[in-house]
Amino acid sequence: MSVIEQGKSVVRVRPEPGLVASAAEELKPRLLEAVRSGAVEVVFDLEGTDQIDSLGIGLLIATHNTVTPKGGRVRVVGTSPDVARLLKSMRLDRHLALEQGPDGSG
Amino acid sequence: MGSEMTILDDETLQMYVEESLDHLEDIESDLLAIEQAGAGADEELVNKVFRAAHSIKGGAGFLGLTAINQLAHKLENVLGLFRSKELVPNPDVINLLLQGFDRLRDLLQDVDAGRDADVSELVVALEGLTTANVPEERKPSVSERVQVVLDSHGPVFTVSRFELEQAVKGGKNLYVFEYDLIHDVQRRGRSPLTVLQELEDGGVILDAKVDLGVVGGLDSEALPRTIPFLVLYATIVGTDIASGVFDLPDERIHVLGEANFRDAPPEPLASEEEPATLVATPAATAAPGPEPRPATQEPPHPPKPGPASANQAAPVHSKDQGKPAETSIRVHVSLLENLMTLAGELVLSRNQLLQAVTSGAPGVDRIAQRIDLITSELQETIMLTRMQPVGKIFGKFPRVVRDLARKLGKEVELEVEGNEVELDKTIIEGLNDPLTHLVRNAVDHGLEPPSERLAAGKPAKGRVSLRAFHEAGHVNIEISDDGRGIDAEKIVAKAIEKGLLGAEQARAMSEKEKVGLIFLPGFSTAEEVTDVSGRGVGMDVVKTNLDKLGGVVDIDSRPGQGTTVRIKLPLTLAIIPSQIVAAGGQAFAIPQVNMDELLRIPASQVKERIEIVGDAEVVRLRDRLLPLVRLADVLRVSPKYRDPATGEEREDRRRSLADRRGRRLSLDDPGTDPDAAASQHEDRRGGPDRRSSSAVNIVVANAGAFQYGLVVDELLDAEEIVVKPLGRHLKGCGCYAGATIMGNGRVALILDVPGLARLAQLTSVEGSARAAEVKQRALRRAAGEEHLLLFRYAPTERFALPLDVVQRIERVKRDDIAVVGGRRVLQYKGGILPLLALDDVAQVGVPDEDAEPVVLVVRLPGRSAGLLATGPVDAYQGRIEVDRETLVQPGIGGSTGIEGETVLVVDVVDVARRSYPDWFQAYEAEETEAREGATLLLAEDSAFFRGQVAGFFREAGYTVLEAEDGQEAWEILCREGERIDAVVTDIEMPHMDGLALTRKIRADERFRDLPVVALTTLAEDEDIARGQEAGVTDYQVKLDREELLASLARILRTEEYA
Repeated sequence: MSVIEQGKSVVRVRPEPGLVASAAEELKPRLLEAVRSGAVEVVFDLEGTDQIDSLGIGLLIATHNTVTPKGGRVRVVGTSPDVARLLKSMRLDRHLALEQGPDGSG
Repeated sequence: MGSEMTILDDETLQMYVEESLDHLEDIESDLLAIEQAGAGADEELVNKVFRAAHSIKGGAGFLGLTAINQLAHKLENVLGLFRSKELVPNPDVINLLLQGFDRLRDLLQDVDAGRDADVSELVVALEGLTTANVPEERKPSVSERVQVVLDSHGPVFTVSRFELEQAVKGGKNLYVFEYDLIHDVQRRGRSPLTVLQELEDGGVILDAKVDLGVVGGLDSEALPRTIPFLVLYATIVGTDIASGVFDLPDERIHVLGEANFRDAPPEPLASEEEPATLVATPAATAAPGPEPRPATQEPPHPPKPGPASANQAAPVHSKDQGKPAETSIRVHVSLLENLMTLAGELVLSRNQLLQAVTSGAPGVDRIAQRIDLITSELQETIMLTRMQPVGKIFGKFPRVVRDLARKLGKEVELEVEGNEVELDKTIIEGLNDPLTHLVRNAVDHGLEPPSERLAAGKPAKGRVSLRAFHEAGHVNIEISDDGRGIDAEKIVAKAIEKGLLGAEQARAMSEKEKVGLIFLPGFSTAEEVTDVSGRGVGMDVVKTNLDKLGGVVDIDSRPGQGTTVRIKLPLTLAIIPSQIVAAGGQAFAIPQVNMDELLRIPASQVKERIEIVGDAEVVRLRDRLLPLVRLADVLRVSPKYRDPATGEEREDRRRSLADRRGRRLSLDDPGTDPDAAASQHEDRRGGPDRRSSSAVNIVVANAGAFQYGLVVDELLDAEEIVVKPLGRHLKGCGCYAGATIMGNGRVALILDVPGLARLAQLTSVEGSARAAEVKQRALRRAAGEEHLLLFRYAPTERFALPLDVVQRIERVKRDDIAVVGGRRVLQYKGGILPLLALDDVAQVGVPDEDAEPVVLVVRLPGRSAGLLATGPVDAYQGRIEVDRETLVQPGIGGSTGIEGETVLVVDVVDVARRSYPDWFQAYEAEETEAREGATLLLAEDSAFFRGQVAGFFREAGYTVLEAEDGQEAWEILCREGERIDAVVTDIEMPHMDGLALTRKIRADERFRDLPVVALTTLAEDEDIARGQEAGVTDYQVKLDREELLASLARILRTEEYA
């Protein structure tokens, strides 16, 4: 079960077991709800996992498509080198804030 | 082994990074210079940049930093083309190189993140430069961009022409692959990472994009049914098999040809714009709104977090490179002057407030802190507005030197260094004349004519160098030449002839002081007055000018080799750091630039260290005698106490010093009546008990050519003072440089150090070489450095002793050494000091017959002894590695290299033990006792060896803590660190090996000095070298019980007595 922490305008998500189809399915409605109740910044915390699949990427993009018109953004933090490399190769780093540190929240 | 490699790498890596960043330091300006010169670029400059790229590349290859290696390699290739003149530097190419080096710097600054960095864009662009062997006019520029157009989609990518041209080199094909992450990846059970890996293995991804719009938002009913992913791809995989190889239907593999390329507008922005949607899906037209430009969209090279952005102060002189136009502002001088005054006032109020706080007024401490902070900041900022580079003056010297050399028929090369060093505007302006004079002097008088130079075996071309640099909060300027030097005797003769000096005085002077006479007023040595050096205007004028600037000038000359004039200047004139002292009940400020050190002679040593030479009082400071000037006497602030009997005995002198101190007035008590204090003092003179308990405070003042000791009553605080001009009535005094207001609101006069020396009619007195009180230097020890005393015995060998072991150094006469009962002894301080001679125990040479012996009085367990040595005796401070293997013999604990010479490290305890075994019997017993207290930490993974070795130690009386590997040992150490006296560790261990453990210990503040003995089964030279590198104290073979115990006893003893 993925973990969602909702702050006022920031939602923090730790997808379990990784950014994969099952997590995407589960998270999608919950994120939507979060965004509807005011969240504009969504933080995907991928610390400790390098599981990622197409639907996971789809979730990132869908979230991005939803929050950016509201002036928000998607941040992906704690990415493993592999995941970071993938997102960069797909040039998704042009759209998502990619932070390799263990915790992008600073 | 794995963890060890990593750690080894870390150290090397750090070195590599630092070195590489050094290389990159002035590449920018070099590249700009190359750009400016174009085809005529200076070859040496090109070579320099080339070499930088080359060495960065080499190191990166070695360390496995692929991205850095690749990028540096490509940069090197382009620079190689400059070298071979195949490519002419033009702004575009230079731009690309600058970008490349910028990126290299970024990668190096964060090496870990840089490992996986994507540098392909730059690499491809650079490659494009090197491989495109086409004529200049066709050479594509970086800014030329091409749209990749698909029939069905319109423009999908915009890339630089370089990349494309490069990509198809070597018969590669260009494709656009149109993946659907859902159908082609997810549904087939593949992971995006595998796909990426396949692509990367098979070719080069030039660009890629995901069609975000098609995916929809979170509010779409289901998960996305399609995620289009387009890849612009270059590969040698042929068109016929691509579909099979990449597992993608033929219709979604687009083979690109010239028809697919279209020139794009050159602005890079074009690439950022999302072209029309690519995949003809219904959702594509329905779902997406306009793609908003995300906030995170960044240019490929994020701006460096320059210091300028963090710096809140106006970046008046920010050194941020690349934008010289914006780095300076025009400010009216009068405004600056006003700001300066304000800052001065602020400093004063800060001082007052600090004073109030110290005296205990509640609640103001926070304000004080704040004012303190603001004031300092304001002061620094404003100071910056006045700072100007010395390059302003230096800039004119090439011409001056060239013209002068031509006139004089000399060949001169001028070297200038430190143009960028900044100084206060006033100082810069005031420096012009003295510097010009000094440079002219160097060319005119310093350098010989070419014929004379050749005759002396020097190159015909003389060298004058001009160097400015920062040191200890001051700016130093050096003017040196490699000319004939200054003949000290000639100077002395002239000084005597002119009545500036007595012959008697001259004899007591050192070479340096003699040369320093050149600064005396009315001195000019030019045999013929040339029109260059000016008429009768000598170095004294230079000195007077520099004195006005608060500078100190110093001259160093070696006959036949050259002369160096060194000027030490404060950064600014208006606010100067100073030392407040008291004499005769008044406070005075001494600028720190004029001060070398503070000396307090304890009452008990006054007798030994303050002496009379001729009719002058001197203090013995290390190996020199300093003349003393009593401030109160010179200023006549207490004329009543001038000792009328100048010829009195030394002890009475000392008392008079002590008396003056006893009479001092309280600075905080304005009501004290000097007369009352005086009579009080008269009374005290009657009580000798009191006098003898007073210490003497001395400021070692630097008057440029010489030092003297200024005796003051009290040393008060160090304070930053604001210099106020002197009133007219005091201008003529010659002993004051200005006035200031102190924290307590009182006025203090600023002392003119050279002026005081003049008033006291002081020339320096340098005694004969004296036994050095080198021990003093140990007080200034810097962390992590060894302090050694270097000496000789036979003239051919050099020895070292840890400075801490040495109590005193005595120069003795050969006759003072007596032989009693076959043993050498010295009459010393009313007793007999046993002497140790190295040649009694070790195979070393013996001193020459006529060598003056020096006795190093050393502390041994329970007694003192003297080690016979010969000079020169030197103190050495620095990091050393002692080789405890190669040159070891009785009495010699090891060897080390210092200043290119092999130095034998004396184990004085061992020397004593071998010479006087009976001394140690009692001590051995103690040692056993001590051993019982000693706790060892033993790390060894083999249970067998661990048991054995622990057994040895326990038998010998140690307490042993055992660990199975380095990791466990470290944990024990962290837990029980305080009771552990030494670590004994195996080298090869799982988890954390012995070397890693040692490095960890050495890197930790708490354990840095903990002895570590490394154990090994076979001690190969290489292992030992690695161990020493890691910082082990000693290396021992595992089962050599005797050696092992001896080593530990030795180490623990050293610890105890070090």
